[in-house]
Amino acid sequence: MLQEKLIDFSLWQSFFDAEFAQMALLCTVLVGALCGLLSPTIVLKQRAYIGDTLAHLVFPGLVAGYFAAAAFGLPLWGAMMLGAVVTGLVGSFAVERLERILNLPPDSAAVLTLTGFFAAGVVAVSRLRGTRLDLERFLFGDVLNLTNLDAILLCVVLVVVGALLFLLRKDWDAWLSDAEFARLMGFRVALIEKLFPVVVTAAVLTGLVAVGGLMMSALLTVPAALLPPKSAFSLRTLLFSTILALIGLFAAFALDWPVGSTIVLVGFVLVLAKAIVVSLAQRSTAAKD
Amino acid sequence: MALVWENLVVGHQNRLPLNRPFSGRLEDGGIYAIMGPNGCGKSTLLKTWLGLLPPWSGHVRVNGAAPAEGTLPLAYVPQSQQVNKYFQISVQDFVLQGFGRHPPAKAEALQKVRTALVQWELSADAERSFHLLSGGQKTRAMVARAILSNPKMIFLDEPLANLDACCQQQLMDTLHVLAHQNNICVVMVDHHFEAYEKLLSARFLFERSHNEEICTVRFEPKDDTCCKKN
Repeated sequence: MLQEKLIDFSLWQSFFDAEFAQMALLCTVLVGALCGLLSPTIVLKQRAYIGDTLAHLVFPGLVAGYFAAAAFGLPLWGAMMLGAVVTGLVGSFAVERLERILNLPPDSAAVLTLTGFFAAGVVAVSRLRGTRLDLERFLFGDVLNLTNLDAILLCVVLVVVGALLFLLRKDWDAWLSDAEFARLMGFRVALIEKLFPVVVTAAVLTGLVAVGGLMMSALLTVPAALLPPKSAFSLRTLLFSTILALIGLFAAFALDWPVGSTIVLVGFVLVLAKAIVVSLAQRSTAAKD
Repeated sequence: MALVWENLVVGHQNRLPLNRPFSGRLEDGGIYAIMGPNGCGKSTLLKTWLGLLPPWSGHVRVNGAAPAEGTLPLAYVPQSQQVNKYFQISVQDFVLQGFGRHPPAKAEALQKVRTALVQWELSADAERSFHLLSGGQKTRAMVARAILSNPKMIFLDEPLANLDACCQQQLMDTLHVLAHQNNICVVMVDHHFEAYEKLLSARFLFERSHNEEICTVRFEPKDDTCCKKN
């Protein structure tokens, strides 16, 4: 039955005739490209948990936005997005500062901050009895309900992130390789250290509505895990991630599975396959020796 | 070019200081050793002189001003584990970083890097990942990167640790040439100076008695004309 569905081109054509499917296709490509662009920096800086962290950091911002919209008559969507951006950025800086001031490992600083912010959001939600707040969209994404605004935002963030990585690639590379040496040699380390959380927050927030925070974590990690990058700006990971996202989207349609989860599963299978191949190659080399 | 420090105490902020205040000045070419037991603050002193760490107390001045990022002809060879082990940067690109943000034209820069790689016997590894090199090769790549920008002062953190006797000799000979022919001030933290004592211009010795937590930094000049203590 799956085979019939896969080769039934009229079914594919009718699906992609639908406006929501075209938007899903466009946004999936954009999210894939965005994650592929940022994946080398995220993985080399050991910040793979950032998507998951941000999904929790934005939670109190969404609730605050909801309150603000009700209290001041602001547009609900805009107020919630603004709240998410503010708590996302504040939380990102809090993670970095906690790490430095208390000399904590990065993952511990992230877990402390994300649980603190999430707890604040839960407390705030408990004050909203009787009100239904659709927060699941931010945590798990909904690629079939995206709008033109989502696509435009993704386009803008993709272009800005791509430009910053390309134009400052020597500074990014020096910072990722050896931050102290880079600082001493006059690379723009201070600028990069300020840009990093802003760029990542912007990318993850725009991707959240499409595939959700947890899926963003995976999409940001898989490309560089499979293709170890030689520079912060890597066309290889960009292209690979875009293709991975498209394969996941088509597989999700063929199997009638959730899009974000299917993309991540395709990536995870590829990572496992690489691990098996590398392991076999190592055993073969050891046997020859 | 002069490195001057006054009543300098080094250490990480919010922690105990690592030494008693001391003052001094480094100016002329020579090889200066920083020696002492593990954890006494040798690498911290190096980073404080470079401006990578703020002094716990006291002042550091290079040419009369606080060390500023990228504005001075200073070079640094850190311990190899400081280089991000996940970054598969090629040896050539790694050494190329030694030019800083404003390298010469691409062809000239590549030519200089290739010459440096030949000098340090790394030309066959130019396209390999830095992290696939042996410990000794990594040290040589980091030295090649550091001296690419023709620094006036070069600071090295345990560069002899991963080198065999032959490579240690090669490195010390090169540093000796840099120090005395090019008048470069070479400052080294290490534990392996036994065979190279005669190449040293002066030593900074971190010393503490058994019942003390904080070290005293003792200055031992070999040649008073090259290094003065205030």
